[in-house]
Amino acid sequence: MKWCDTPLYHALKSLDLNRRLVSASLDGSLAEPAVDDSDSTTLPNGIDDPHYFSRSVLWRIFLSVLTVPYTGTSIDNVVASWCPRLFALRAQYASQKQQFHQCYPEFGNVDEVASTMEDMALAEVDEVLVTQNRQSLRGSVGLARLMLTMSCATNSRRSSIGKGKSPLESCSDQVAEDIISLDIKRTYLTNDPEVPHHSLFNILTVWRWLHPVIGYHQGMHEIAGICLQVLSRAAVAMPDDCPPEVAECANAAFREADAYYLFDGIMSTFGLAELFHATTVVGSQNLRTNVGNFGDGGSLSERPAMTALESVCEHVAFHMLRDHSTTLYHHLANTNMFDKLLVFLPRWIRNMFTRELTMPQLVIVWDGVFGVFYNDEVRREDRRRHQGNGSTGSSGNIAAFRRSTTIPTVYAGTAGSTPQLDEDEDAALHIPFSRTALGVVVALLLHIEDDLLELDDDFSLLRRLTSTPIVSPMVDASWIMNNAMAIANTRPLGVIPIHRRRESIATAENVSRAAASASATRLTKEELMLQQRSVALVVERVTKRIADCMEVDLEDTTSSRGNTSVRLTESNVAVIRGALRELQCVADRLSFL
Amino acid sequence: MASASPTRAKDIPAKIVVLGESAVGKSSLALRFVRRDFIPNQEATIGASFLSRSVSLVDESPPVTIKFEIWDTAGQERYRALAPMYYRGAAGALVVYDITSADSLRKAESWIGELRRNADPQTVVVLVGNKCDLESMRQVSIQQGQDLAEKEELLFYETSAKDGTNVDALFTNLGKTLLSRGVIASGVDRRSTMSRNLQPPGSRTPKSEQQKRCDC
Repeated sequence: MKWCDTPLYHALKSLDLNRRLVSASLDGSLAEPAVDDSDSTTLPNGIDDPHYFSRSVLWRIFLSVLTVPYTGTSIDNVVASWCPRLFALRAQYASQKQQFHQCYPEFGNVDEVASTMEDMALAEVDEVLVTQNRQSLRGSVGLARLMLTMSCATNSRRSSIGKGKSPLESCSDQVAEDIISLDIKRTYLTNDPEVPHHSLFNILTVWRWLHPVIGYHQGMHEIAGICLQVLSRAAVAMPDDCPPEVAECANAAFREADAYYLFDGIMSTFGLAELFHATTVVGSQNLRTNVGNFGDGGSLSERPAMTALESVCEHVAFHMLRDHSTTLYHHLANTNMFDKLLVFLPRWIRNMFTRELTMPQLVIVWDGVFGVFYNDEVRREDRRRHQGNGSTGSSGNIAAFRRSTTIPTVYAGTAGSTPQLDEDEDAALHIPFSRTALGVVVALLLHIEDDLLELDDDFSLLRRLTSTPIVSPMVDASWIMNNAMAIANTRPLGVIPIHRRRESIATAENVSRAAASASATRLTKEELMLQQRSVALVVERVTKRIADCMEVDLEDTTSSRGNTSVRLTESNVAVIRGALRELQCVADRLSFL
Repeated sequence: MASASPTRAKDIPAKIVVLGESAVGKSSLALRFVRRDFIPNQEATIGASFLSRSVSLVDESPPVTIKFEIWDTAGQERYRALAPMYYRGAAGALVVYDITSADSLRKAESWIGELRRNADPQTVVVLVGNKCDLESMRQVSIQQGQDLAEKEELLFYETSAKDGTNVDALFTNLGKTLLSRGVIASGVDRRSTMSRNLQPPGSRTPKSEQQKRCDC
């Protein structure tokens, strides 16, 4: 595969032209195998899947490890900005790792120690560049040094290092390390040369040390393992004709450091760590009221406080699942499974499906989940800037992280492919986690709905719900992802007593595809009604979206800033184009119906 | 998963919960019993896993078949608040320790205490010292295990999930004990044990206690 054929290149190219980054990676170009394989029964085994290269970089963009500037500059400029940051992060990791292993409690000035170590680490980076014959990148090392010096002055990164405990200070730390090495020894990634034990151990121990409040929990080892694996595969899959700055993103010599920041991105930026935090109290009277209103399990709302994980599980069951399959909802309610939500759901959600899906499915699901997350963040950031109000962060964790990072501010015009998330609605529900990931949970539940409906005792149900993998490896992950996105973005429909909704819950494009395939089987009356309903919803949404951007336009002309209004007009054109595409799909469907 | 023989109507279900410190071999023990198999690097259980096997006790009169429904829990799981959900309504509980780790025996003791305080008094508790094939690395003597079992009036076995020592014997004897103590009985409607599962979640372990037991 050539560099200019990679999904990454296309994503960046589309960014260059119309500032759309995510749509390019989510429209399936990343998900589908590059070579059209006529033998549809063979799955991409992944190891030589050329998409791993693009994936490793795109995930880092999605999780704000690498950033993309706002204005449309050339791809060269975008990728050139990555190297200093990569080097700075690698040096920072090397220094943190060394501090963790050596521990300098006797040093008063942690900052001084840190910067000395970072300098040494940068010198090593430089040395590697020379030995690998990548002299052209050496200029970035100087920039990286500058970045580290500046970040020292502006954020509290280093003082937080000082607070971390030495591994020898308490025995519970020792125990945690024992557990980490035990878990690493017995993960399914164990025999994979792509996932060296020592790297996995370093990543987990350093992360744990820097995040003493959350610490290490089983399951993190699998997330970090996947990060390492993806980066290993990226190095193999890298196109030969990559510009050196891009190739540097997959430099195998720094795989561990790069994997660390990917892992940290999932934990901190994406917010997965929040779910590992056993005592976080979600201060949401709102949520509990909502759960109480939506769910039949009213007793759950009487509990004094919930962890983020608990509230997420309850949201999935009492809100999302109920909206999408009342049959399954009532079946699980009648078999008392909602008492046991915390027996099976935490593994699905907290492990991000590492046990529920096979690796080829998993990475496609992660592509979508991270992509939508990025999309939403960018949109929120845009809106915030537009309102001139930076303090409306609904997720404090992310907001705090972002203050210390360059915020990627690409306008993400995915109007055509993913329904827009209504921020007010999102904030009102206080879901402390990615809606898309929760959409995947519901999509998987709906996929195994028939199995679940046949079982009526708690043991058999739990056994089915904890089986690994949860769906056949042959199930198309992009299909799951499309359903998940539709589920995540569906507004509550009220109660529709229909067993099979999975064909009808999909994005506009999918619905028309599903409708076309359903033509062979003929729709039932109920299904027809549902189709009509979802058409009405799409029309309503599209109308609202167009109305919204009209309003924005009016506001902006009053501000009399010439170039601002040009930019907005451009983005509005994209929104309206997307809206028209969606309407076109609806028209297709109507003609079919 | 479905390696157990198909359930017949006369099979008596018995919920068995497996508790104990991380990596003592809980899952391996269950797998050895259910699938007669041993995987050296068994993955860490996250949350819980569920296995079942039916065993016929031919020397009982009349002969009965018990369907062991094994609730295999995660050792490190900090969600201790969940524990009551696992042992509520359990006919039997296996408290497993690793004979090569004295610390795991202390954890087992705390599990026994937990069961004494909160589980159904009828629940038959078995103390299991696993990994008895690793004689050279032994840290807990047979006597220590036996003493604890006697003190707490528990059944006691040393097993090896790796070579299968005592695994079937453990479950067969547990089944017999369950029958003789009347914890399970043929002809009894399963719902009577199931109904204990219906307690509202509000009755879970209070938060403060959860934090106290957090093992970090």
